[in-house]
Amino acid sequence: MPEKTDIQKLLRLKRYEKPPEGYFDDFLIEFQRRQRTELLRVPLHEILWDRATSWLDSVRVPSMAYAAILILGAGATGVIWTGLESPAGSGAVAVAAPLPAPAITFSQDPNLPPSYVLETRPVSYESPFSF
Amino acid sequence: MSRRSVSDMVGFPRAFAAAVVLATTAIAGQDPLGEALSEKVAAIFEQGREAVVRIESSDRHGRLTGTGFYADPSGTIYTVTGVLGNAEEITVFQGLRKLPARLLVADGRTGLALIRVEANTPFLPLGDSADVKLAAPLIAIGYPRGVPETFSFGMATGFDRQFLNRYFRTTHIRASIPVQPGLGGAPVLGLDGKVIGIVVAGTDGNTGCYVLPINAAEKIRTDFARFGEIRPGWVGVSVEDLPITEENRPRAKVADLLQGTPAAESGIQDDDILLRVGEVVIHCREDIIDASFFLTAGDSVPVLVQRGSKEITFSIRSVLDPAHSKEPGTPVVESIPRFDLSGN
Repeated sequence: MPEKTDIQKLLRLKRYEKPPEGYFDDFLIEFQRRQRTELLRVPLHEILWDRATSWLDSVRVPSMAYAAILILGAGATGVIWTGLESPAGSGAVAVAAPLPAPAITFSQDPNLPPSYVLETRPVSYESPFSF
Repeated sequence: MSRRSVSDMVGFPRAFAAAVVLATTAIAGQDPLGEALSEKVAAIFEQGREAVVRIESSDRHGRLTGTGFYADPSGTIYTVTGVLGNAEEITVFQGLRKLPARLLVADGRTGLALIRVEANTPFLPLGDSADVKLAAPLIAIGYPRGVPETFSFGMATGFDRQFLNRYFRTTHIRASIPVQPGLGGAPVLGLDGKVIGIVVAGTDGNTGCYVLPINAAEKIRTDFARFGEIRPGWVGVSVEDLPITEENRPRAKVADLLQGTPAAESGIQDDDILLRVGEVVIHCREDIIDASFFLTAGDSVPVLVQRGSKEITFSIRSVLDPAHSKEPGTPVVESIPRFDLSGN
């Protein structure tokens, strides 16, 4: 209670305080300068952490999301484990080696009928009116 | 009306009687015209079939097959480029013989190709396609869809320079010969047994076809024999139609003559009216198509023009057509897109 009394006294004294001449002229600029100076003193990781936690506080996560994340995590673990146990055993998970391109065979097979040709190229889009 | 009715009444019994007589004689096999025609066609087929070959080629895209024919006893074969594709191997089947062949030359303008086998061969005599008249009976011999050699019969039904707004490189013979896939490159013969052209495309669901005149094919073969390559000539003249005058006669004039071209150096001028190029009389600009096709680079061609009231003949030595950029002596079949004229 004595603390409260002190604060009340202090506030009463503040009522009679007067800022010096020109105090409010550059108030906003001065305020921002001091704010930036204060921020520079805080390490970067603390700033990022503060911002992340404050953003997470604003996000409302549905209760089912935790279950979904858990299932996904379990699934990913299973896939990775299966890959490690595969006969290749190379440790390269879910990356298939490139297969050689199949040879173009079309109707090279002598048992297949060939293409019977009738048309050739008797016409042209070129202007024939010069020689 | 009454006169017509009387005429019909009189004409009907006569027509009916004539039809009965014709049908009866035809059934009895005594139609002299039909029988003569049938015998003639059969004889031409029997006479020419040995010189008609099946050609098979293969490249990385697969196997192609079509028809060709021997044009001389030393194994030179006319066929079409579509049969060869980008051929790595060409095989000729002549009866029971199977002969390897090599490409001599391929002409992308007409779709004609010349190949050769190293053998003594029968051959078909060549006619003059300029003599083919409308309604001339024509016979195509070839190998459609893997069946043995057979023939198809029809008539010359027209002479076209373009089809569906696309120009041929020279006038083609339109024929009412039904064709099937595999007949590309088939020889078309007249009733004298001489080749007048080569099947290059089917039309209208293959109920008819277009035939490259043998004279155009021979121009290419002559070029190859002389120079080892195709040498289309060029003099540097563009041609425009003149407005039809009161005489109602279309004419063509020289336009956009480029300096430094053989034509400009010969003395020809813009607005000269073209009357004749070589042996071809020029009535309209489309006549240039045939005149220009038969030019050979290095040869001189007489060009008759009208300037004012004077007629002047210029002798112009043509040069190699700049559009024909192929290196000399390298007969390579290019990848030639195929046009389906049948609309399928």
